[in-house]
Amino acid sequence: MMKRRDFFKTAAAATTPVLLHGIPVAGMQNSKLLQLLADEDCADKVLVLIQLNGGNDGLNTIMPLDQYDKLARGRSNILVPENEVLSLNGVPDMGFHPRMGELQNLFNDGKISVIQNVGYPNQNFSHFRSTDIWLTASDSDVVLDTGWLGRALDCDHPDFPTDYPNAENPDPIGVQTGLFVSPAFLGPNSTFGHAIEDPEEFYQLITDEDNTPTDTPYGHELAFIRQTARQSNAYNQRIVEVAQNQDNLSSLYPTAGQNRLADQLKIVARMIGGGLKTKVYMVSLGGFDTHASQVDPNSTTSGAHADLLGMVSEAMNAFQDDIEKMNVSNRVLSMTFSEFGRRIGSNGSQGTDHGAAAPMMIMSSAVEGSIIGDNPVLPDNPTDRDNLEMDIDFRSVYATVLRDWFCLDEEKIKDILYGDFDLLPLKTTSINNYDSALARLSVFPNPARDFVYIEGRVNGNLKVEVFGASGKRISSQYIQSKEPLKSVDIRGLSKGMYHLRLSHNTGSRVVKILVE
Amino acid sequence: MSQYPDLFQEVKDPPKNKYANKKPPHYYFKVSGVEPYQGSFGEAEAKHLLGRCLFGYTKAQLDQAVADGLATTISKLLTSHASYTSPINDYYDMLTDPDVAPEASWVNAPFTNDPQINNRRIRSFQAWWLTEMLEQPLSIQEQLSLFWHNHFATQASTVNFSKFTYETNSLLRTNALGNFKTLTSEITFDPGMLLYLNGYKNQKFKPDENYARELQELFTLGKGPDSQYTEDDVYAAARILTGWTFDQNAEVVYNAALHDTDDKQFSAFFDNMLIKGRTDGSIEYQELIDMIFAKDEVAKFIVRKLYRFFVYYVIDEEIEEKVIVPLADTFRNGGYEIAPVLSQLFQSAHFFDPYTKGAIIKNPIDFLLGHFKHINFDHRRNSETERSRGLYITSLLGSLLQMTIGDPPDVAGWDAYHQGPQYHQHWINSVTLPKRNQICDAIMIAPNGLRISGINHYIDILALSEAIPNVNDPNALVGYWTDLLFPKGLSEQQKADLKSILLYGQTEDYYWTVAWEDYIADKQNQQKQQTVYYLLYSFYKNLFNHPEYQLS
Repeated sequence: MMKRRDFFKTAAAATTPVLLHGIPVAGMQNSKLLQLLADEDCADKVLVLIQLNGGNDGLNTIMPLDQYDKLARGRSNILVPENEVLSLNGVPDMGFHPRMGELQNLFNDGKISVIQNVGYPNQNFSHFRSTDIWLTASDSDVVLDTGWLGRALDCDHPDFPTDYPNAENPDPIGVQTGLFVSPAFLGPNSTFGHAIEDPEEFYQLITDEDNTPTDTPYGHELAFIRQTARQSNAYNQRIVEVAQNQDNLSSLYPTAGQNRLADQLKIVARMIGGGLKTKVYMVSLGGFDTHASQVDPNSTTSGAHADLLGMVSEAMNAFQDDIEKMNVSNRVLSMTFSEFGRRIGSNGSQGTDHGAAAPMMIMSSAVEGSIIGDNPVLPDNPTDRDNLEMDIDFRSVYATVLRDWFCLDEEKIKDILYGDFDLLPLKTTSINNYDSALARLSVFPNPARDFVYIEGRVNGNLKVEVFGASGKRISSQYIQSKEPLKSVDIRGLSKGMYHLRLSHNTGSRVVKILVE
Repeated sequence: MSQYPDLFQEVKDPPKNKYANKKPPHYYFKVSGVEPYQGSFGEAEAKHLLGRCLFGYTKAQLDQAVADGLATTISKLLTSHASYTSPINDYYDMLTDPDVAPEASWVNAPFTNDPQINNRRIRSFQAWWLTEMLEQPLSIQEQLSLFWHNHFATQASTVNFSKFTYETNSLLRTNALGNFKTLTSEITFDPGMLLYLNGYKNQKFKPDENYARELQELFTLGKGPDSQYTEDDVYAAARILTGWTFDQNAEVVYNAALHDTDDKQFSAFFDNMLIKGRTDGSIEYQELIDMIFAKDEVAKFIVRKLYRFFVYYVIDEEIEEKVIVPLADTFRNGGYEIAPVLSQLFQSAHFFDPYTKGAIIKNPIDFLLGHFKHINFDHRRNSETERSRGLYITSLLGSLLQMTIGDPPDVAGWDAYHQGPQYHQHWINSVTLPKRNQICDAIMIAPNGLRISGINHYIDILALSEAIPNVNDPNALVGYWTDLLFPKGLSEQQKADLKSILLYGQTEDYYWTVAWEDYIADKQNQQKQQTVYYLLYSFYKNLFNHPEYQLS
């Protein structure tokens, strides 16, 4: 049987009784079944991070159509014509760049979620600092020497790299495609990232050892190289085996060398499909630092940025198709990020300078597509010095993924992210439960006033969280009631749109509620 | 004798951790400062100095340095020299260059925007620079040119005009041992840089901040805690830099009509300096440079970068205080002259502290070219074209290992020199480490060796070995290589393991001696040649694959 995950033990212990309408609600410590279910659900989930290096122009990627006139005033020399923006089902005030046709279809199929206006307070406009901030999940003015993934993976692998790989963990914990291992993978002891370039290649390295002390620079570097050699021998051999187990099944990948991102995701799909037990993959695409000539002088729908977005769209689509054909897509969540967005107004070089907030995209068969947060609010006459305000801290996104995808407990997440960040109403569904009791619950009335009622039976605790329209979590409570009708007190909420997130051991569901 | 006891004797019970800890090493003994080194200058010290200042060294260079002594060697190292050659048209049978004859230099040819010709010329530029590195005399100039290329980074693939790339490189190498303030002043209007960071598009009303930001963040002040320039300072500097652009002939010109003539106000970090707007932007620019270089942080920022490149990447409070601050004082008080700082650093007790030895992971170019020198790889060919194309292959090998000469990943240069906490460790991972070894292996397999684009890179390991004194003694053969290649040699056990390869599992030295002498007595005998070749190939493969070989 699978070994119980350390963080889950903590999760159960940390769940304390809460008061709902003055009635104490029992904790879940004793629910063994619940723990096992959660184990099975979370243990084999995979996160794929897609880094867009250079600072992606979010306003040219996902356009707030309700403010197209303002964009036209601020960035006329680079703006895509309104009638060429790709429309999204059910979302009239937002559209995708014309080169993102594949992502448009994926959105309409409910496999893409958009998180709006993601950033952090006191935006740093240096690529290098801002990239570090995103990869280490630090405050703007804090320098950390471990990465956010490294700290998260350390929860389950506190001794890594001592005696790794081993029978329980034969595979790299994190994988980076290409030659550069991201600082995001840096744990307290060592990096969890293993670089793969060609999964079919294996070379036996020398791994002899002597008694060189490691607490000198020479010994320190030598131990690092020897460790790399040992891990390379072990992991690369596994990777070759895994590559033999699985061919790519999608025909949508472009020819090798045509799309740098697709080439990387192709390897990732093969590794996941072939059974590599790696938890996190990191791929990247550079070139988003579009200070000048972001668009063709003759056509704002083509040019450098359009080509990049086309590559992203083509690559993500082929990858999704591939993992669906391999029947592993329910285990995979992919997420894009970039160190910052760009200015609202363009500059004189048909480009945009370093900016602040920007949207992120999440793609998964196991996350019901949605839009989290509102369209950005633009000034009436944007200039090349105006920045988008952040609404959602990027660490809220990380916290949400850690909790809802990897099932880490909220206290642990606070330690990993050095703070308590609001959780977002991501509509994760668990593997087998889409048609579960949770989906059959009815939530009414809508619009609502004073109380919202939830009707239907579920076993065990139901967690109810209320999120504001911008994605901020307002409240969180457990309801344990055998009665078919449960009530949620919303008397404290002002008028507006809210999300109710219902979660249970089988997954979660999000319902939009208008409060009158 | 070094003035400090050997590190390993000093520590009675050194920690032996099989696993590299990410935390910077703790030093068990006193860290010296920049006071002059008083110890002896023998082969170990010479190896350390040359390893850091050159791209590999030959045994002859090492012997010469020991004979010359420290002071003379440093003065030789800090002397610049003219280039040996010039990048040539090595592409004539594939592409006709209307302006440049085959095998002629293209550096004085008229500007061209033909992408194919530029692409070919950039390849020959890369080959040319590697030639200069391989042919270098005992001078730090090529390593320093690389340092400045990493510091004032431009990407040949982005600039895409070969003439600009060559000119940027010329500016860096001419000033490599000159004055940093002068170099900074000039690089701003260097055509390659002006193009690369969009300075030529920076104009009044809609300034492009790209260059103004990097001028402060990457080139002079850095992003350390004492560098407190603001976003408004970036914008004000961008406005000062408006007006420089290209004319029809791709020459840099100043167009006063594009220059923002309003006053520019700087923040408290710059003592609320107000730079008066003028029609002549160059006066404002000079005031901007003076204002930046008046900050103490500039010298410290550059000295830290030099330290990370030439000594080690860990800079803790003690090293900051004992090494960085005094060297920065020298730099600043000397009006930003580069040579005196390096002279002080390389003659310091700190540089020769035992713990600095072997602490640097070689970058790919250093590894490749150093290897070529160690194995006496002859890059000369029947023609200049073949030589140039052959060295272009070497630059492709650098790319395979994550370092394309002339084309760093971005304006910050290579991660190994700015991205903490791993720094130099970025060069080594599960992809690049096997590749470094594979390159060493492949080059030993004659006659194909590394065969790329119809050119073969290989060495004859029999001839290589024959030139080694007392090669018939396996202990001498092992000792020759372990002394030459590894910063701290190898342990007795490791040497014994290497010798056992030559003995083919036998225990007596004569097994190798007989095999070698049999071969020498009858070189044409295929079987005897095969025996020795096999033993040597296995020996060298194991030798070059030692993790210690990655260190300098």
